[in-house]
Amino acid sequence: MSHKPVPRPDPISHVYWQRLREGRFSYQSCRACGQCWLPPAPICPRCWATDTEFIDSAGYARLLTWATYHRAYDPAFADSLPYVVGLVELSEGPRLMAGIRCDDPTLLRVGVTLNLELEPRENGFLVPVFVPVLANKREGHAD
Amino acid sequence: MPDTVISGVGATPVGKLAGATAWSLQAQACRAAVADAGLELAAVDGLLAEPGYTQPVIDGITPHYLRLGEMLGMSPNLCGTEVLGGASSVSMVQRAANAIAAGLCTHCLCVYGDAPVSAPGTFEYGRGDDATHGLFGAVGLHAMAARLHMERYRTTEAQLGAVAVTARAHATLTPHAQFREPLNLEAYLDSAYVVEPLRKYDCCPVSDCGAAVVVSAARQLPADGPAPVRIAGMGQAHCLAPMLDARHLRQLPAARSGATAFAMASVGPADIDLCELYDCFTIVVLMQLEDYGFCRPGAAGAFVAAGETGPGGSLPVNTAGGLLAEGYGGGMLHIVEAVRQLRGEAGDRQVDEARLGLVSGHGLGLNTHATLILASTAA
Repeated sequence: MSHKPVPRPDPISHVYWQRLREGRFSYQSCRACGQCWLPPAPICPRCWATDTEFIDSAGYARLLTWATYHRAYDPAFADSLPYVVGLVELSEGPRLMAGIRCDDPTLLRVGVTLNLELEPRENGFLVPVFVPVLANKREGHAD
Repeated sequence: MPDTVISGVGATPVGKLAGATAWSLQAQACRAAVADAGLELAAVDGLLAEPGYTQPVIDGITPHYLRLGEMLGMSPNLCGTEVLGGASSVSMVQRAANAIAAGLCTHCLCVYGDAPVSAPGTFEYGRGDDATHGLFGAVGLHAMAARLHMERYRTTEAQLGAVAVTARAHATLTPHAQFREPLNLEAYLDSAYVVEPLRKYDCCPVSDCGAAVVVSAARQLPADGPAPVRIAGMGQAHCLAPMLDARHLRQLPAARSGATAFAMASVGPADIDLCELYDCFTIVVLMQLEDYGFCRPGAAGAFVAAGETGPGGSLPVNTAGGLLAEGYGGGMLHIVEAVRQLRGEAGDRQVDEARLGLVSGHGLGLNTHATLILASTAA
Protein backbone atom coordinates (compact mmCIF):
# COMPACT_ATOMS: atom_id res chain seq x y z
CA MET A 1 0.00 0.00 0.00
CA SER A 2 1.31 3.41 -0.90
CA HIS A 3 1.39 6.27 1.56
CA LYS A 4 -0.56 9.50 1.32
CA PRO A 5 1.54 12.52 0.38
CA VAL A 6 3.34 14.36 3.15
CA PRO A 7 3.51 18.14 3.41
CA ARG A 8 6.47 19.89 1.82
CA PRO A 9 7.35 22.65 4.28
CA ASP A 10 9.11 25.67 2.84
CA PRO A 11 10.65 28.58 4.75
CA ILE A 12 7.23 30.26 4.91
CA SER A 13 5.17 27.24 6.04
CA HIS A 14 7.86 25.59 8.15
CA VAL A 15 6.60 26.91 11.50
CA TYR A 16 3.00 25.89 10.72
CA TRP A 17 4.00 22.28 10.00
CA GLN A 18 6.49 22.13 12.89
CA ARG A 19 3.77 23.15 15.36
CA LEU A 20 1.49 20.49 13.87
CA ARG A 21 4.20 17.88 14.47
CA GLU A 22 3.92 18.91 18.11
CA GLY A 23 0.15 18.40 18.00
CA ARG A 24 -0.70 22.12 17.73
CA PHE A 25 -2.90 23.25 14.83
CA SER A 26 -2.44 26.98 14.45
CA TYR A 27 -3.22 29.91 12.22
CA GLN A 28 -1.26 33.09 11.59
CA SER A 29 -2.21 36.44 13.04
CA CYS A 30 -1.04 40.04 12.55
CA ARG A 31 0.16 41.83 15.66
CA ALA A 32 -0.51 45.19 13.98
CA CYS A 33 -4.11 44.82 12.74
CA GLY A 34 -5.37 41.55 14.21
CA GLN A 35 -6.14 39.85 10.89
CA CYS A 36 -6.06 36.03 11.16
CA TRP A 37 -5.36 33.79 8.16
CA LEU A 38 -4.12 30.62 6.51
CA PRO A 39 -2.09 29.53 4.60
CA PRO A 40 1.05 30.98 6.18
CA ALA A 41 2.45 34.12 4.57
CA PRO A 42 5.53 36.31 5.07
CA ILE A 43 3.40 39.43 5.44
CA CYS A 44 -0.07 40.32 6.71
CA PRO A 45 -2.36 40.08 3.65
CA ARG A 46 -4.53 42.93 4.98
CA CYS A 47 -2.10 45.64 6.23
CA TRP A 48 1.25 44.23 4.95
CA ALA A 49 2.83 44.41 8.41
CA THR A 50 5.56 41.83 8.93
CA ASP A 51 5.10 41.41 12.69
CA THR A 52 3.05 38.22 12.72
CA GLU A 53 2.60 35.25 15.06
CA PHE A 54 1.10 31.78 15.09
CA ILE A 55 -1.81 31.14 17.44
CA ASP A 56 -3.23 27.72 18.38
CA SER A 57 -6.74 27.14 17.06
CA ALA A 58 -9.47 25.75 19.31
CA GLY A 59 -10.19 23.28 16.49
CA TYR A 60 -13.84 24.16 15.91
CA ALA A 61 -15.02 24.96 12.39
CA ARG A 62 -17.93 24.90 9.97
CA LEU A 63 -18.19 23.44 6.49
CA LEU A 64 -18.59 25.98 3.64
CA THR A 65 -18.65 23.48 0.74
CA TRP A 66 -17.19 20.12 -0.22
CA ALA A 67 -16.32 17.72 -3.04
CA THR A 68 -16.56 13.93 -2.94
CA TYR A 69 -13.76 12.19 -4.85
CA HIS A 70 -14.75 9.00 -6.67
CA ARG A 71 -11.40 8.79 -8.44
CA ALA A 72 -7.92 8.50 -6.92
CA TYR A 73 -5.55 10.87 -8.71
CA ASP A 74 -2.87 9.56 -6.34
CA PRO A 75 -3.05 5.78 -5.74
CA ALA A 76 -2.52 6.41 -2.03
CA PHE A 77 -6.14 7.60 -1.85
CA ALA A 78 -7.60 4.55 -3.64
CA ASP A 79 -8.46 2.74 -0.39
CA SER A 80 -10.25 5.83 0.91
CA LEU A 81 -12.73 6.22 -1.99
CA PRO A 82 -15.11 7.88 -1.93
CA TYR A 83 -13.45 10.55 0.20
CA VAL A 84 -14.34 14.17 0.91
CA VAL A 85 -12.32 17.39 0.78
CA GLY A 86 -13.93 20.57 2.02
CA LEU A 87 -13.57 24.30 2.39
CA VAL A 88 -13.55 24.88 6.13
CA GLU A 89 -13.94 28.05 8.20
CA LEU A 90 -12.40 28.03 11.66
CA SER A 91 -14.29 29.65 14.54
CA GLU A 92 -11.37 32.10 14.69
CA GLY A 93 -12.01 33.15 11.06
CA PRO A 94 -9.33 31.64 8.82
CA ARG A 95 -10.42 29.36 5.99
CA LEU A 96 -8.57 26.34 4.65
CA MET A 97 -8.97 23.29 2.44
CA ALA A 98 -8.89 20.05 4.42
CA GLY A 99 -9.94 16.43 4.36
CA ILE A 100 -13.40 15.75 5.84
CA ARG A 101 -13.61 12.37 7.59
CA CYS A 102 -17.14 11.17 7.06
CA ASP A 103 -18.72 7.74 6.50
CA ASP A 104 -21.77 9.06 4.68
CA PRO A 105 -21.14 12.20 2.60
CA THR A 106 -24.85 12.44 1.72
CA LEU A 107 -25.42 13.74 5.26
CA LEU A 108 -23.15 16.76 4.74
CA ARG A 109 -24.71 20.22 4.50
CA VAL A 110 -23.34 23.75 4.28
CA GLY A 111 -22.75 25.05 7.79
CA VAL A 112 -22.28 21.65 9.46
CA THR A 113 -20.15 21.87 12.62
CA LEU A 114 -16.71 20.28 12.38
CA ASN A 115 -14.19 19.14 14.95
CA LEU A 116 -10.45 18.98 14.32
CA GLU A 117 -8.48 15.75 14.33
CA LEU A 118 -4.84 15.25 13.43
CA GLU A 119 -4.02 12.47 10.98
CA PRO A 120 -0.55 10.89 11.22
CA ARG A 121 1.53 10.68 8.04
CA GLU A 122 5.03 9.46 7.31
CA ASN A 123 8.06 11.20 8.81
CA GLY A 124 6.16 12.30 11.90
CA PHE A 125 3.89 14.72 10.09
CA LEU A 126 0.41 15.40 11.43
CA VAL A 127 -2.18 16.72 8.97
CA PRO A 128 -5.40 18.51 10.01
CA VAL A 129 -8.66 16.77 9.09
CA PHE A 130 -12.16 17.63 10.21
CA VAL A 131 -14.96 15.39 11.46
CA PRO A 132 -18.56 16.59 11.03
CA VAL A 133 -20.98 16.56 13.93
CA LEU A 134 -23.90 14.80 12.25
CA ALA A 135 -27.20 13.48 13.53
CA ASN A 136 -27.38 9.68 13.29
CA LYS A 137 -28.93 8.79 9.94
CA ARG A 138 -31.29 6.21 11.50
CA GLU A 139 -32.74 8.79 13.85
CA GLY A 140 -33.90 11.04 11.05
CA HIS A 141 -32.63 14.29 9.63
CA ALA A 142 -29.58 16.33 10.37
CA ASP A 143 -30.70 19.73 11.62
CA MET B 1 -9.29 53.83 -27.33
CA PRO B 2 -8.31 53.80 -31.02
CA ASP B 3 -10.03 51.09 -33.00
CA THR B 4 -8.42 47.69 -32.70
CA VAL B 5 -9.80 44.65 -34.45
CA ILE B 6 -9.29 40.94 -34.85
CA SER B 7 -8.18 40.74 -38.46
CA GLY B 8 -7.52 37.02 -38.82
CA VAL B 9 -8.11 33.68 -37.11
CA GLY B 10 -6.64 30.22 -37.55
CA ALA B 11 -6.80 26.83 -35.88
CA THR B 12 -5.52 23.30 -36.31
CA PRO B 13 -7.80 20.29 -36.00
CA VAL B 14 -8.65 19.45 -32.39
CA GLY B 15 -8.48 16.05 -30.71
CA LYS B 16 -5.79 13.39 -30.84
CA LEU B 17 -3.31 14.48 -33.52
CA ALA B 18 -0.64 11.85 -34.07
CA GLY B 19 2.88 13.27 -34.05
CA ALA B 20 1.80 16.73 -32.96
CA THR B 21 3.85 18.86 -30.61
CA ALA B 22 2.88 22.11 -28.92
CA TRP B 23 5.38 23.91 -31.12
CA SER B 24 4.14 22.47 -34.40
CA LEU B 25 0.52 23.24 -33.50
CA GLN B 26 1.33 26.81 -32.51
CA ALA B 27 3.30 27.36 -35.71
CA GLN B 28 0.47 25.96 -37.85
CA ALA B 29 -2.11 28.12 -36.08
CA CYS B 30 0.00 31.25 -36.56
CA ARG B 31 0.43 30.51 -40.25
CA ALA B 32 -3.32 29.99 -40.68
CA ALA B 33 -4.26 33.19 -38.80
CA VAL B 34 -1.87 35.43 -40.77
CA ALA B 35 -3.02 33.89 -44.04
CA ASP B 36 -6.66 34.44 -43.03
CA ALA B 37 -5.96 38.12 -42.32
CA GLY B 38 -4.34 38.46 -45.74
CA LEU B 39 -1.21 40.00 -44.22
CA GLU B 40 2.36 39.82 -45.44
CA LEU B 41 4.50 37.93 -42.90
CA ALA B 42 6.75 40.97 -42.55
CA ALA B 43 3.80 43.09 -41.40
CA VAL B 44 3.34 40.99 -38.22
CA ASP B 45 5.25 42.84 -35.51
CA GLY B 46 3.91 41.35 -32.27
CA LEU B 47 3.94 37.84 -30.78
CA LEU B 48 2.14 36.78 -27.59
CA ALA B 49 1.97 33.11 -26.64
CA GLU B 50 0.28 30.86 -24.08
CA PRO B 51 2.53 27.83 -23.75
CA GLY B 52 -0.14 25.36 -22.67
CA TYR B 53 0.19 23.06 -19.72
CA THR B 54 2.61 20.39 -20.87
CA GLN B 55 5.67 22.50 -21.55
CA PRO B 56 5.46 25.77 -19.65
CA VAL B 57 9.07 25.76 -18.52
CA ILE B 58 12.09 25.68 -20.80
CA ASP B 59 15.47 25.23 -19.16
CA GLY B 60 14.11 26.51 -15.88
CA ILE B 61 12.64 29.74 -17.23
CA THR B 62 9.58 30.53 -19.35
CA PRO B 63 10.58 32.55 -22.43
CA HIS B 64 8.17 30.53 -24.51
CA TYR B 65 7.87 33.32 -27.08
CA LEU B 66 11.63 33.12 -27.62
CA ARG B 67 11.62 29.59 -29.00
CA LEU B 68 8.38 30.12 -30.92
CA GLY B 69 9.63 33.41 -32.35
CA GLU B 70 12.84 31.72 -33.46
CA MET B 71 10.83 29.05 -35.25
CA LEU B 72 8.73 31.72 -36.95
CA GLY B 73 11.79 33.80 -37.85
CA MET B 74 10.38 36.89 -36.14
CA SER B 75 11.96 40.14 -34.93
CA PRO B 76 8.84 41.72 -33.41
CA ASN B 77 8.29 45.03 -31.63
CA LEU B 78 6.31 43.32 -28.86
CA CYS B 79 6.52 39.83 -27.39
CA GLY B 80 5.55 37.94 -24.24
CA THR B 81 4.19 34.81 -22.62
CA GLU B 82 0.83 34.84 -20.86
CA VAL B 83 0.30 32.51 -17.90
CA LEU B 84 -3.24 33.22 -16.65
CA GLY B 85 -4.40 29.64 -17.26
CA GLY B 86 -7.72 29.58 -19.10
CA ALA B 87 -7.88 33.38 -19.08
CA SER B 88 -4.62 33.68 -21.06
CA SER B 89 -6.13 33.71 -24.54
CA VAL B 90 -8.57 36.53 -23.83
CA SER B 91 -5.88 38.37 -21.88
CA MET B 92 -3.41 38.12 -24.77
CA VAL B 93 -5.90 39.76 -27.11
CA GLN B 94 -6.33 42.55 -24.56
CA ARG B 95 -2.57 42.98 -24.21
CA ALA B 96 -2.24 43.13 -27.97
CA ALA B 97 -5.07 45.67 -28.32
CA ASN B 98 -3.55 47.89 -25.62
CA ALA B 99 -0.11 47.72 -27.22
CA ILE B 100 -1.54 48.58 -30.63
CA ALA B 101 -3.56 51.47 -29.22
CA ALA B 102 -0.36 52.76 -27.57
CA GLY B 103 1.51 52.53 -30.86
CA LEU B 104 3.91 49.76 -29.81
CA CYS B 105 3.00 47.51 -32.73
CA THR B 106 0.46 47.17 -35.53
CA HIS B 107 -0.36 43.48 -36.11
CA CYS B 108 0.06 41.15 -33.13
CA LEU B 109 -0.24 37.36 -33.21
CA CYS B 110 -1.82 35.77 -30.13
CA VAL B 111 -1.41 32.01 -30.04
CA TYR B 112 -2.28 29.01 -27.89
CA GLY B 113 -1.12 25.49 -28.65
CA ASP B 114 -0.54 22.29 -26.77
CA ALA B 115 -0.32 18.57 -27.45
CA PRO B 116 -1.12 16.92 -24.13
CA VAL B 117 -2.64 13.82 -25.79
CA SER B 118 0.14 13.10 -28.25
CA ALA B 119 3.14 14.49 -26.38
CA PRO B 120 2.30 14.23 -22.69
CA GLY B 121 4.34 16.36 -20.36
CA THR B 122 3.95 16.85 -16.66
CA PHE B 123 0.49 17.48 -15.28
CA GLU B 124 1.03 18.39 -11.65
CA TYR B 125 -2.40 17.76 -10.18
CA GLY B 126 -1.98 18.82 -6.57
CA ARG B 127 -0.70 22.35 -6.01
CA GLY B 128 1.58 22.81 -3.02
CA ASP B 129 0.20 21.05 0.00
CA ASP B 130 -3.25 20.54 -1.56
CA ALA B 131 -2.29 16.93 -2.40
CA THR B 132 -1.75 16.30 1.30
CA HIS B 133 -5.48 16.82 1.83
CA GLY B 134 -6.47 14.80 -1.24
CA LEU B 135 -7.36 17.92 -3.24
CA PHE B 136 -6.32 17.17 -6.82
CA GLY B 137 -6.97 19.03 -10.01
CA ALA B 138 -9.22 21.88 -11.00
CA VAL B 139 -12.07 19.35 -10.92
CA GLY B 140 -12.07 19.28 -7.10
CA LEU B 141 -12.45 23.04 -6.74
CA HIS B 142 -15.13 23.17 -9.42
CA ALA B 143 -16.98 20.32 -7.72
CA MET B 144 -17.00 22.44 -4.55
CA ALA B 145 -18.38 25.39 -6.52
CA ALA B 146 -21.06 23.14 -8.03
CA ARG B 147 -22.01 21.75 -4.62
CA LEU B 148 -22.34 25.25 -3.21
CA HIS B 149 -24.56 26.32 -6.15
CA MET B 150 -26.76 23.27 -5.60
CA GLU B 151 -27.01 23.94 -1.86
CA ARG B 152 -27.76 27.65 -2.27
CA TYR B 153 -30.11 27.58 -5.24
CA ARG B 154 -31.39 23.98 -5.47
CA THR B 155 -29.61 23.68 -8.79
CA THR B 156 -29.97 20.06 -9.90
CA GLU B 157 -27.63 17.52 -11.43
CA ALA B 158 -29.96 17.46 -14.45
CA GLN B 159 -29.37 21.21 -14.89
CA LEU B 160 -25.61 20.68 -14.86
CA GLY B 161 -26.26 17.90 -17.36
CA ALA B 162 -28.21 20.31 -19.57
CA VAL B 163 -24.99 22.31 -20.05
CA ALA B 164 -23.18 19.19 -21.29
CA VAL B 165 -26.11 18.15 -23.49
CA THR B 166 -26.31 21.65 -25.00
CA ALA B 167 -22.59 21.69 -25.74
CA ARG B 168 -22.99 18.45 -27.72
CA ALA B 169 -26.03 19.85 -29.54
CA HIS B 170 -23.87 22.70 -30.83
CA ALA B 171 -21.01 20.32 -31.65
CA THR B 172 -23.22 18.16 -33.86
CA LEU B 173 -23.38 21.22 -36.15
CA THR B 174 -19.60 21.77 -36.01
CA PRO B 175 -17.58 19.68 -38.48
CA HIS B 176 -14.26 20.06 -36.65
CA ALA B 177 -15.55 19.34 -33.12
CA GLN B 178 -13.88 16.58 -31.10
CA PHE B 179 -17.19 15.12 -29.79
CA ARG B 180 -19.96 15.32 -32.39
CA GLU B 181 -22.17 12.49 -31.12
CA PRO B 182 -25.33 13.76 -29.42
CA LEU B 183 -25.59 13.28 -25.66
CA ASN B 184 -28.90 12.86 -23.87
CA LEU B 185 -29.69 13.53 -20.25
CA GLU B 186 -30.24 9.85 -19.45
CA ALA B 187 -26.72 8.95 -20.58
CA TYR B 188 -25.38 11.90 -18.61
CA LEU B 189 -27.15 10.82 -15.43
CA ASP B 190 -26.05 7.19 -15.95
CA SER B 191 -22.38 8.16 -16.09
CA ALA B 192 -20.16 7.79 -13.04
CA TYR B 193 -19.07 10.63 -10.82
CA VAL B 194 -15.49 11.81 -11.13
CA VAL B 195 -15.59 14.23 -8.21
CA GLU B 196 -19.19 14.42 -7.04
CA PRO B 197 -21.32 16.26 -8.04
CA LEU B 198 -19.32 16.39 -11.32
CA ARG B 199 -19.40 13.48 -13.75
CA LYS B 200 -17.27 12.69 -16.76
CA TYR B 201 -19.49 14.77 -19.06
CA ASP B 202 -19.17 17.79 -16.77
CA CYS B 203 -15.44 17.89 -17.48
CA CYS B 204 -13.82 19.10 -20.69
CA PRO B 205 -11.49 16.70 -22.49
CA VAL B 206 -7.76 16.93 -22.99
CA SER B 207 -7.04 17.78 -26.62
CA ASP B 208 -4.22 18.48 -29.02
CA CYS B 209 -4.91 21.85 -30.61
CA GLY B 210 -3.36 25.08 -31.81
CA ALA B 211 -5.35 28.28 -32.31
CA ALA B 212 -4.33 31.86 -33.05
CA VAL B 213 -5.74 35.27 -33.84
CA VAL B 214 -4.18 38.42 -35.28
CA VAL B 215 -5.05 41.67 -33.50
CA SER B 216 -4.56 44.71 -35.74
CA ALA B 217 -4.90 48.46 -35.90
CA ALA B 218 -8.17 49.00 -37.76
CA ARG B 219 -6.59 51.50 -40.16
CA GLN B 220 -3.78 49.16 -41.22
CA LEU B 221 -5.75 46.33 -42.82
CA PRO B 222 -5.27 44.92 -46.32
CA ALA B 223 -8.04 46.04 -48.66
CA ASP B 224 -8.99 42.50 -49.66
CA GLY B 225 -8.99 40.87 -46.19
CA PRO B 226 -12.02 39.46 -44.37
CA ALA B 227 -14.40 41.74 -42.47
CA PRO B 228 -12.58 42.73 -39.27
CA VAL B 229 -14.21 42.12 -35.90
CA ARG B 230 -13.98 45.14 -33.63
CA ILE B 231 -12.80 44.87 -30.02
CA ALA B 232 -15.58 46.87 -28.39
CA GLY B 233 -14.94 46.18 -24.73
CA MET B 234 -12.66 44.31 -22.43
CA GLY B 235 -12.11 43.67 -18.74
CA GLN B 236 -10.22 41.54 -16.27
CA ALA B 237 -10.68 40.64 -12.63
CA HIS B 238 -8.86 38.14 -10.47
CA CYS B 239 -9.09 36.45 -7.10
CA LEU B 240 -5.52 35.81 -5.97
CA ALA B 241 -6.18 35.29 -2.25
CA PRO B 242 -9.11 32.85 -2.33
CA MET B 243 -8.92 31.82 1.33
CA LEU B 244 -9.43 35.50 2.29
CA ASP B 245 -12.25 36.17 -0.17
CA ALA B 246 -15.75 35.20 0.95
CA ARG B 247 -16.86 35.17 -2.71
CA HIS B 248 -14.46 32.35 -3.63
CA LEU B 249 -16.41 29.38 -5.08
CA ARG B 250 -19.66 31.42 -4.78
CA GLN B 251 -19.09 34.11 -7.39
CA LEU B 252 -16.50 34.38 -10.14
CA PRO B 253 -14.38 37.47 -10.80
CA ALA B 254 -16.51 37.53 -13.99
CA ALA B 255 -18.91 39.88 -12.22
CA ARG B 256 -16.23 42.58 -11.99
CA SER B 257 -14.56 41.75 -15.29
CA GLY B 258 -17.90 41.90 -17.10
CA ALA B 259 -18.84 45.25 -15.56
CA THR B 260 -15.63 46.78 -16.91
CA ALA B 261 -16.16 45.33 -20.37
CA PHE B 262 -19.84 46.27 -20.63
CA ALA B 263 -19.06 49.85 -19.56
CA MET B 264 -16.24 50.16 -22.11
CA ALA B 265 -18.48 48.89 -24.90
CA SER B 266 -21.46 50.95 -23.67
CA VAL B 267 -23.72 47.90 -23.85
CA GLY B 268 -25.41 45.56 -21.38
CA PRO B 269 -26.16 41.84 -21.21
CA ALA B 270 -29.43 42.31 -23.15
CA ASP B 271 -27.47 43.59 -26.17
CA ILE B 272 -25.34 40.45 -26.51
CA ASP B 273 -26.32 38.08 -29.35
CA LEU B 274 -24.09 35.14 -28.45
CA CYS B 275 -21.58 34.06 -25.83
CA GLU B 276 -18.44 31.98 -25.94
CA LEU B 277 -17.96 31.19 -22.25
CA TYR B 278 -14.94 29.32 -20.94
CA ASP B 279 -16.36 25.94 -19.93
CA CYS B 280 -13.70 23.71 -18.40
CA PHE B 281 -16.57 22.35 -16.27
CA THR B 282 -20.34 22.70 -16.73
CA ILE B 283 -20.80 24.62 -13.47
CA VAL B 284 -18.69 27.51 -14.76
CA VAL B 285 -21.22 28.16 -17.52
CA LEU B 286 -24.05 28.48 -14.99
CA MET B 287 -21.98 30.75 -12.74
CA GLN B 288 -20.96 33.00 -15.62
CA LEU B 289 -24.54 33.36 -16.93
CA GLU B 290 -25.42 34.71 -13.49
CA ASP B 291 -22.24 36.69 -12.77
CA TYR B 292 -22.39 38.47 -16.14
CA GLY B 293 -26.04 39.34 -15.51
CA PHE B 294 -27.66 37.20 -18.21
CA CYS B 295 -29.67 35.42 -15.50
CA ARG B 296 -30.67 36.21 -11.93
CA PRO B 297 -28.57 34.44 -9.28
CA GLY B 298 -29.77 30.85 -9.13
CA ALA B 299 -31.72 31.03 -12.40
CA ALA B 300 -29.09 29.80 -14.84
CA GLY B 301 -29.83 26.09 -14.39
CA ALA B 302 -33.44 26.49 -15.47
CA PHE B 303 -32.38 28.87 -18.29
CA VAL B 304 -30.05 26.28 -19.82
CA ALA B 305 -32.44 23.38 -19.21
CA ALA B 306 -35.12 25.33 -21.14
CA GLY B 307 -32.87 25.40 -24.20
CA GLU B 308 -32.21 29.13 -24.15
CA THR B 309 -28.44 28.62 -24.69
CA GLY B 310 -28.78 25.95 -27.38
CA PRO B 311 -29.01 26.21 -31.15
CA GLY B 312 -31.86 28.61 -31.95
CA GLY B 313 -32.16 29.72 -28.31
CA SER B 314 -32.45 33.30 -27.11
CA LEU B 315 -28.77 33.41 -26.10
CA PRO B 316 -26.67 30.78 -27.89
CA VAL B 317 -23.67 29.85 -25.71
CA ASN B 318 -20.56 28.07 -27.00
CA THR B 319 -21.85 27.78 -30.52
CA ALA B 320 -19.16 25.34 -31.68
CA GLY B 321 -19.49 23.15 -28.58
CA GLY B 322 -16.98 24.87 -26.33
CA LEU B 323 -14.25 23.12 -24.41
CA LEU B 324 -16.77 20.43 -23.44
CA ALA B 325 -17.45 19.26 -27.00
CA GLU B 326 -15.49 21.23 -29.60
CA GLY B 327 -12.41 20.30 -27.56
CA TYR B 328 -9.80 21.97 -25.40
CA GLY B 329 -8.38 24.96 -27.24
CA GLY B 330 -7.10 26.93 -24.26
CA GLY B 331 -9.86 29.51 -24.68
CA MET B 332 -8.46 30.65 -28.04
CA LEU B 333 -10.97 28.50 -29.97
CA HIS B 334 -13.70 30.47 -28.17
CA ILE B 335 -12.33 33.68 -29.70
CA VAL B 336 -11.93 32.05 -33.12
CA GLU B 337 -15.55 30.87 -33.00
CA ALA B 338 -16.85 34.30 -31.96
CA VAL B 339 -15.03 35.86 -34.92
CA ARG B 340 -16.44 33.29 -37.34
CA GLN B 341 -19.95 33.95 -36.02
CA LEU B 342 -19.55 37.73 -36.22
CA ARG B 343 -18.28 37.44 -39.78
CA GLY B 344 -21.25 35.24 -40.69
CA GLU B 345 -18.96 32.32 -41.59
CA ALA B 346 -20.20 29.70 -39.12
CA GLY B 347 -22.03 27.47 -41.58
CA ASP B 348 -24.80 25.24 -40.18
CA ARG B 349 -24.32 26.66 -36.70
CA GLN B 350 -24.49 30.34 -37.73
CA VAL B 351 -26.47 32.44 -35.25
CA ASP B 352 -28.94 34.76 -37.00
CA GLU B 353 -28.19 38.48 -36.76
CA ALA B 354 -24.96 37.91 -34.83
CA ARG B 355 -23.69 41.45 -34.19
CA LEU B 356 -22.29 41.43 -30.67
CA GLY B 357 -20.54 38.56 -28.91
CA LEU B 358 -19.09 38.11 -25.42
CA VAL B 359 -16.05 35.86 -24.93
CA SER B 360 -14.67 34.88 -21.54
CA GLY B 361 -11.58 33.21 -20.16
CA HIS B 362 -11.44 31.66 -16.70
CA GLY B 363 -8.35 30.18 -15.23
CA LEU B 364 -6.45 28.23 -12.59
CA GLY B 365 -8.34 27.52 -9.35
CA LEU B 366 -11.17 29.96 -10.11
CA ASN B 367 -8.53 32.69 -9.74
CA THR B 368 -8.35 34.53 -13.06
CA HIS B 369 -10.97 35.94 -15.41
CA ALA B 370 -10.98 38.03 -18.56
CA THR B 371 -13.75 39.30 -20.86
CA LEU B 372 -13.94 40.49 -24.46
CA ILE B 373 -16.92 42.08 -26.17
CA LEU B 374 -16.57 41.76 -29.93
CA ALA B 375 -18.62 43.57 -32.56
CA SER B 376 -19.33 42.63 -36.15
CA THR B 377 -18.38 45.08 -38.92
CA ALA B 378 -19.84 42.91 -41.68
CA ALA B 379 -22.46 44.63 -43.82
